[in-house]
Amino acid sequence: MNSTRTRAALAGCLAAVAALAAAGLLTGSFPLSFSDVLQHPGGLSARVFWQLRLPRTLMGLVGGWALGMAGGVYQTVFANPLASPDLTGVSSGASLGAAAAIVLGAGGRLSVTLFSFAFGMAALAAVLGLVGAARLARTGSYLLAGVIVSSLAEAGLMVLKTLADPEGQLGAIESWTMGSLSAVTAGKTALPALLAAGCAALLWLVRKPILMLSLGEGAARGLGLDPALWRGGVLSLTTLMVASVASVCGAVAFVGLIAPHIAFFLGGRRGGPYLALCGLCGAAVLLAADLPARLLNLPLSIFTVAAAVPVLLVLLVRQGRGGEDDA
Amino acid sequence: MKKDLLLRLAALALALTLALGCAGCAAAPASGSASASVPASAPASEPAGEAEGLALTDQAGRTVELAAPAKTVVSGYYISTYAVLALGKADAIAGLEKKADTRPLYQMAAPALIEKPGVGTMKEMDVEAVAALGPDLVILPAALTDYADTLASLSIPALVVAPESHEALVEMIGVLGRALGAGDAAAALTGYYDEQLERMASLTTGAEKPAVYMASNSSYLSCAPAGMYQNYLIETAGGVNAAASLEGDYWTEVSYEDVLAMAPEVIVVPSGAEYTAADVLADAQLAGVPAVENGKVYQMPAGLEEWDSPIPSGILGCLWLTSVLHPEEYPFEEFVADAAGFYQAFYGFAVDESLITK
Repeated sequence: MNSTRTRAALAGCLAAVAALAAAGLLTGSFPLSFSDVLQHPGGLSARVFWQLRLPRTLMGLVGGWALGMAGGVYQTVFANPLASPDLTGVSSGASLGAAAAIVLGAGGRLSVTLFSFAFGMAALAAVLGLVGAARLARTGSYLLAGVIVSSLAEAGLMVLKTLADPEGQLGAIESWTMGSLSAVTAGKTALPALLAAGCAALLWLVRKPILMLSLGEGAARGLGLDPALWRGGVLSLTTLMVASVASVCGAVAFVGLIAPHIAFFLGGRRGGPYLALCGLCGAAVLLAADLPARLLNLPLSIFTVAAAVPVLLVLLVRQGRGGEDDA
Repeated sequence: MKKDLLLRLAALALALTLALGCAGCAAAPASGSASASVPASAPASEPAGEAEGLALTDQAGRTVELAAPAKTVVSGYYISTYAVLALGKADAIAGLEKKADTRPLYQMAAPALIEKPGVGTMKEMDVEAVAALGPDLVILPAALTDYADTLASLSIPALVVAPESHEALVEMIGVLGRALGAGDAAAALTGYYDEQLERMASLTTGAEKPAVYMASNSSYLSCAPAGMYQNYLIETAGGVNAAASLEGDYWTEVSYEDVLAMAPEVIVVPSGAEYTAADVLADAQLAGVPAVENGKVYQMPAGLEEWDSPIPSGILGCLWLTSVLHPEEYPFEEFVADAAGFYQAFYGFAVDESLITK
């Protein structure tokens, strides 16, 4: 029964993602004529389609998939439904790294990716270090450690904002922290999308060890895993995936938190194709959020946060009824 | 065995990262290579030869090539829109920054602009909307430099402007003059600046230099330090910046104690302030400040333009402050006539003189 439900969930999510991607290709300010795109390959319509519309939609799909899958990995590895790039300090750390790259004048795509990855990893290590030092690996401990690390990163971000050139760097930092796909082009998308897709493929290959890590240190060791090595490798790969997406889209809020909950709600289990379902749910959320964002020319996070609120409310109600365990 | 798999995966991840990193390094210079070909000593804009069109260097150091002077433009920044108007090219504007209806100058100089499509803010630009307008040229603020490459991928040339100082403003006007085929208008405007700067220098030579505190739009407990354009404005007008000891190049928050210690003789409230000169005068905490004791708190005219900024009419801010600080040498009535003459000459409309206040 579970596998029928999972298959139905996968098919439904695939259909939703396909429909949203199609809507993305049809939505925009330019009056695109698809016959023009085909008949005049060098014309403006064709350039808008191949350089802007298609890359933006693909980046929404890959970015959403990566963020959703990253949330699924964090929640499984930490065995914690609140673990996500937002609440484990990774997003704040990555934002601080990107801001540092911008203010130091190394604001190219590669340096923003590397800085956001390095700072995201440092934030994650700090959270794990704090939880380890407190010797309390509970939901509340991760959350509290995440709040502490996020607060420190936010303070650092404020310092960098005061140092930033108000005419250029400040706007770039603010845009980055709110997330957007508006500046996506074919050239900007290729590398980060490939990197994110590569990381996602690697994580998919190790989905079973990831699930084993959720059983705890002893059980994982009993199954032949070196938990510290695997946890470090998996979290590094996941953080690199998040950073590569963030280098193009900026910090998109809450997709990594809500996608796994939607996936669990639909699929009913964390095994099997759970991570793929997380990716599909993330892609659906991001593609859906980008439709109003591109029509109203507003930052992406406004709409991802709006999408997160009802999901989190449902989660709250379900937890109140004992519907889903807390860690 | 699982350890082997993990090691293989880690090696693959590392190889993937390095390969993509190298590809990124190889691809990165592409956008900068054009700029690097321009000699460092080249002026801001250098003709590439009449027959081949124009090669301009924008204020982000990028080289922008135009087949001919642009006949239609999209301006994504209010200061560049002001400049296009001052160069007599209002009809060339096909689209502009959002919230155009909040700029009184557009209403007075070119009301049709209010109805033109708004394509972006200082944070984001709707590239598809720009493409739909099919402009010959797009003008962007430095904050949107990233979008210049996006537009380049659509073969739409984009100039980045960064008028952060008087010198940068003059450079911007020169580049825009060439890009729009309005070199004479640009020369007339910058020539006017030179003439007025000389005049202010001669008017204020030997005069006492009052200490001026330039407050920000958001609060009078936030002021312009030495690194800001406002410092230049104060010094050009024959004053000294009361906050010159503060470092930085952005509005700096200060306390009441700081303002009392600075003891400014004149306080200037900018045109876009969310408070009034009366609010400053009524604040009991500032009672010991000489400017407040002597009633020397002035607000720049609120219904025209942001004269405290490096905009094309920023020279009027310098003249306005000169008349405030040195009324004997430069009476306010004379300034009002000069300002009216400026708007008539460069924007082509008769300004309502009742808007020019202090």
